[in-house]
Amino acid sequence: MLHPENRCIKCGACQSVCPVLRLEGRETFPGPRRLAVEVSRFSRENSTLSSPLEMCTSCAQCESACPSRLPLTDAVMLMRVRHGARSEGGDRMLRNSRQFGRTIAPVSSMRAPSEGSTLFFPGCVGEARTASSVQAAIDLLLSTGDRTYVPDGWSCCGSPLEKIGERREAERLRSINAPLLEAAEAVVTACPGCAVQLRRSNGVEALHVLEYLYESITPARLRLRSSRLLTVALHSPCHLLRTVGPHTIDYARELLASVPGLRVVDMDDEGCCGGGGGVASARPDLALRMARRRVDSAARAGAEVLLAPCPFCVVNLGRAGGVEVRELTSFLASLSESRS
Amino acid sequence: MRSRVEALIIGGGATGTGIARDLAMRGAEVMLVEAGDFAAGATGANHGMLHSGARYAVTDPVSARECAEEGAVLKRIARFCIEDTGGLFVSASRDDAEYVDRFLPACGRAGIRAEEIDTREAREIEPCLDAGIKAAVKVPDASIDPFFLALGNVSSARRHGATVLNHSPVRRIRRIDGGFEAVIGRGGRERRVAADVVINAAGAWAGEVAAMLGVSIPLCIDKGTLVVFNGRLVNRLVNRLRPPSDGDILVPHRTATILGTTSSAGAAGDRATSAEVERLIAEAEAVLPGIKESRAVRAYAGARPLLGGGSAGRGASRTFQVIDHACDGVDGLISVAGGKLTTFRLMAERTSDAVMEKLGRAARCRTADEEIEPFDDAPSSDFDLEAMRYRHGTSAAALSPFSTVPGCGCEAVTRGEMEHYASSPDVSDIGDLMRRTRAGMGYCQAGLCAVNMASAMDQGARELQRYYGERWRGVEPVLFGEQLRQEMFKAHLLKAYGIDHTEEGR
Repeated sequence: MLHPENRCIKCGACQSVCPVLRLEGRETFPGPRRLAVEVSRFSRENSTLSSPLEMCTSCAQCESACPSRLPLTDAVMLMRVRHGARSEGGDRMLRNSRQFGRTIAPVSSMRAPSEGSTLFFPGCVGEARTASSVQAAIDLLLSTGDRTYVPDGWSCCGSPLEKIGERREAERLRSINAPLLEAAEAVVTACPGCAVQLRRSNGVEALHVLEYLYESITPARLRLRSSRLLTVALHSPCHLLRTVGPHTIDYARELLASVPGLRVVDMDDEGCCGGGGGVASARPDLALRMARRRVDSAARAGAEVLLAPCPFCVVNLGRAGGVEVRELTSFLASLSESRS
Repeated sequence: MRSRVEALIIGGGATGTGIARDLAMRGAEVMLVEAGDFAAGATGANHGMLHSGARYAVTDPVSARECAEEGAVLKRIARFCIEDTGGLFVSASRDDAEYVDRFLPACGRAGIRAEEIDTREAREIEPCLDAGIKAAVKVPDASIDPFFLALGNVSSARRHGATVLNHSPVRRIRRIDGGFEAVIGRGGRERRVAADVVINAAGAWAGEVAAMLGVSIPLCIDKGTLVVFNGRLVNRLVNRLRPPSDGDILVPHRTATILGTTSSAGAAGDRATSAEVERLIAEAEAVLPGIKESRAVRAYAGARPLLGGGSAGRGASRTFQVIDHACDGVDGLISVAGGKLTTFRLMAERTSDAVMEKLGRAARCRTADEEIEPFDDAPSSDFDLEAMRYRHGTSAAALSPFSTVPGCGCEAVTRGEMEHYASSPDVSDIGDLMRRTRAGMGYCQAGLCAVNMASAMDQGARELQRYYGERWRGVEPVLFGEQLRQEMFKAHLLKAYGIDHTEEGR
């Protein structure tokens, strides 16, 4: 089909759920229908759109609300490639990718076997920005007897490069990863974005680590226990909820519920942390405002720790301050009896 | 009330408004009267294509040369309503591969810049083209908005002193000493106009106008149906590289792609049928596979007023004729017929030359020297202002202080723009407002914005019902796929206002 977004019937559902539109107002961010559907049909006028285009966090709430299931996020990203201004961050990602095969220059190497059966895919943000979490996740898996490994020479999944229109570079990375992924019995990652991209571009059934922990390892084998009474809140990452799979976050809830000594509280405001879609680098002010809403909500609910099963969310929520933010798998690892 | 002018022009299409502009620029006292709204006939019901002339190069070299020359002039004077997309002629896998060998030299003879390119290159610049295309030629075709072109002529004519009236049908016209007297207007608002010369530029209705003065014109009406698809399926005009036939042109037009046309004997006011739509889409599939799954939002039919001396339809020349009816015993009546949107300015020039001669005055045509609407090259940084600049030219800047609340999302029309045009004396119904802003022309076919337009005009459910009835005539032939869902959704919404938008009414 040519241009699927042209199938919009203007019900307005996408506009009503967009968190950026709600927070910033129509004057600043005209919303997914306007950017993905309406103005994409114009030609010369679109040179004016670079500012609103960089504000989409690709949370995909619009897509979930759309009765026609239009690919609104992809359409916004395509508009961004065509009409957005290339940010400094984008240039840096491309440079790093060409030099290191990662969008962020790798800082340290992980302690993990380089051979095994379960390939753990660290991801660029995971490795460089939440290295201790990734290490903890690997250690947790190994502690259960799983033959977890990180292959030498893995590269970026390609998702951020596709989003800035660098298809050729994304393809180069895909082909580097292809033989590594094919050799693995299972592919696991703690980054929802990587999981989805590896599924889409490499055609492997990449699992989010929560899926793997719940379905293959099972909660019983993890033997989790909190040494003291602890109140936590669970953030639902957009890419986990709407692209990895709708039930993955339930696995997280069940894993947490199985831990003695842990109390999980509900937040009064659910939604996007603002850390996706390149917003954290292009519009840090907006990303911070969105993160604050989430963290404030966790504080109001009485949470001591805000947990997030996504490295992007962890980094961005962590900027807001006020409540301790932790990556979920590494938090689970810290509760593991087999580890302590 | 009686006024006196030198020239009375009947018909507010591109040609009539072009003549009004031309004569006014030459200093003549001019009145133009249009029975409905400007551009409401064939002017507003064609492809919106600025011909390079290539389409006629092989079969109709006179028209081809006229189009080539006039196309270049319009790209200079009508920048505000032209998108210089360029055009591509491609031969589909089932087309005659030899045709390109006749086409290229014919373009050369007509003065058209035509350049054959590799089919791979063609598919790079137009990714949706069929993989089996056999030849591709680049030509300087462009896309033009005929509504804004005619409206631009009207404002330019007025700036030069012309009186231009819409919704002013000619009720009677008779010869008086040294000229004519016409009664124009509706109901109680009739007025008398005396004129030395009457110009019949009524397009498909030219025969009826001439008949009021006892003259007959050998005109045949050729029906052409077009389908509007949502969004840009192509980036430049895509033509079939074959002798002109049905369904062989795709025009990227503002937020849509227009596919056409058919050619069959018809009458003014004919409607597009779903059978014609199916035929057009089946033809286009040969060039643009997948178009049958794309979203058609509307279909419409235009009435080409062709000068018929026996040969009609595709066979009739697209050139035009200025007829001095002195030979019919009606000195002072001049008719102009035939031609293309692309050649309207030349038609206006030739007609105005004849009028000036009748008036015994001499002043040369200046329409090619001055822009119809001033157009500033500097882009603005605001999307809505940019959209307005490409509709109204530089004068759109005056609308910037008005409300930027969206009025019509499909076409990016603000409430402020709606309110401004709603207050024009030319605008008496929602359709008039639509033609001046494009609100309502988009994919939801006025689903939501009609209400905004009605409120900008202080009109209510009855006027809305009438306007939706007009929209429905164009939607009915494309009721399949996504547009069917769209119309179901609209029916549901509009129930709240007690409106059945599928009811044509009167």
